[in-house]
Amino acid sequence: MILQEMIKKPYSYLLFLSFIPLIFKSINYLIIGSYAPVSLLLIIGIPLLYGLSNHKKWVKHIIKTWGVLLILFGVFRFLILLLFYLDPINEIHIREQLNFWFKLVNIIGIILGVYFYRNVSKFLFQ
Amino acid sequence: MKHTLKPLFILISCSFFSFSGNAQSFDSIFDKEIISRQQELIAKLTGQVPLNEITSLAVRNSFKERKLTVSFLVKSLKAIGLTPQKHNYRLSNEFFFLDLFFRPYRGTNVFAVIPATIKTDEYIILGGHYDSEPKAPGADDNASGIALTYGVAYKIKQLKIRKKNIMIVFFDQEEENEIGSKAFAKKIKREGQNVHSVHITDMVGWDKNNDYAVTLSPPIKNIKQIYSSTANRLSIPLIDSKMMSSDHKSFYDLGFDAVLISEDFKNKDYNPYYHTEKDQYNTINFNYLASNTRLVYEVIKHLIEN
Repeated sequence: MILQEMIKKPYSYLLFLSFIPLIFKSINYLIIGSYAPVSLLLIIGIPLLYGLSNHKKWVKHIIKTWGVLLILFGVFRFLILLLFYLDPINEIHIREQLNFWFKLVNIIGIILGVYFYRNVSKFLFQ
Repeated sequence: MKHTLKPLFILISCSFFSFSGNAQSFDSIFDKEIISRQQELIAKLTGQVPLNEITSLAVRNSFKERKLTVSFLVKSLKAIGLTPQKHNYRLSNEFFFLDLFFRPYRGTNVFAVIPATIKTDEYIILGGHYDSEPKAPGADDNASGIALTYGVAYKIKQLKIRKKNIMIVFFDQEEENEIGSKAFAKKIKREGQNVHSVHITDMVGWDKNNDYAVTLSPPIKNIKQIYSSTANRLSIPLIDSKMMSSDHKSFYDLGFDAVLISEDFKNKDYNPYYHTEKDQYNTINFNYLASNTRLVYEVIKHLIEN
């Protein structure tokens, strides 16, 4: 099993941990009737689970895609930050989230994304 | 002692300032006690006088400022014998993909029920938003609407006969696409409440030409009839409009009979300072606010007595 193989590698824990914020977000939004985060979770999660049964190629593609999505997540949020600096939009609800933690999460997202994209082999091959 | 007297002095000075410019006396328009309560409320909501010895509100925009406003409104409703409740809500972002990147909207509506004196499940909802734009003290937009609602609640509570329940609501986040009222309207719809009509007040304190004209939007047939006849009786010019940019839209969109009472937008006699730092206490025409309070009170009184 690929899963058993992956569990033996410490890098894999980083991969599984990177899904936790999305899982929490999905639950939070599901409660208030929004399906966007849970849809993304299923789009990534189902093929990943399927691949883990015995499709190494699938898993490789999914990890790469997840990496790209994490990079896009960080970049998009940085663009929003830039937009708010250039044009002070009165969206206080968004503005209040643009704090230190917001920037830190973006940086972590981009670093993890790049790491997952470039090191797929470390998760799957010796 | 010094701290206690200072706000009082400012309040009295402000009251004098706003009294002095108007031709008609308050007594001839409405209950003097209500007007002084309204002045105090607007002064505190706009930072003209501090909320207490250590806290003052300049604007009501950030989560922290709105939370402080909620505490003050709860206290104010308790002071007139009502039992306020908080409606905490969370709502997804305007565009669904933003849910992937940001936290949901969160806020608090404050509401209280003045129960009917007979057994009925029918409600009239009366309210306005308490939040303001960033940097704007929001005296007219919309401390004036809060003061009007508060004044009407005070008077309604004193009525001996009420055949309908009155729900007083102060909405959060109107300045962010009416998020607070959207959440509240959804809650009312979900609970299957029997709502006769919804009356929203927003920007009811500016009247430069002193004609006392008031806008009703949209002119829903049955409600308009009552407003028209009451306005005629009180010699208030009533103007129809189809304006939908306030909290009444949230209810109207869900099928409730909801109207907005506001200053004269049609003839451009509206507050030029709205959404700016100049929307301050001393720009409020308290005679006009009193006139509007009386109009809404008479309409609600008519509705709950029949």
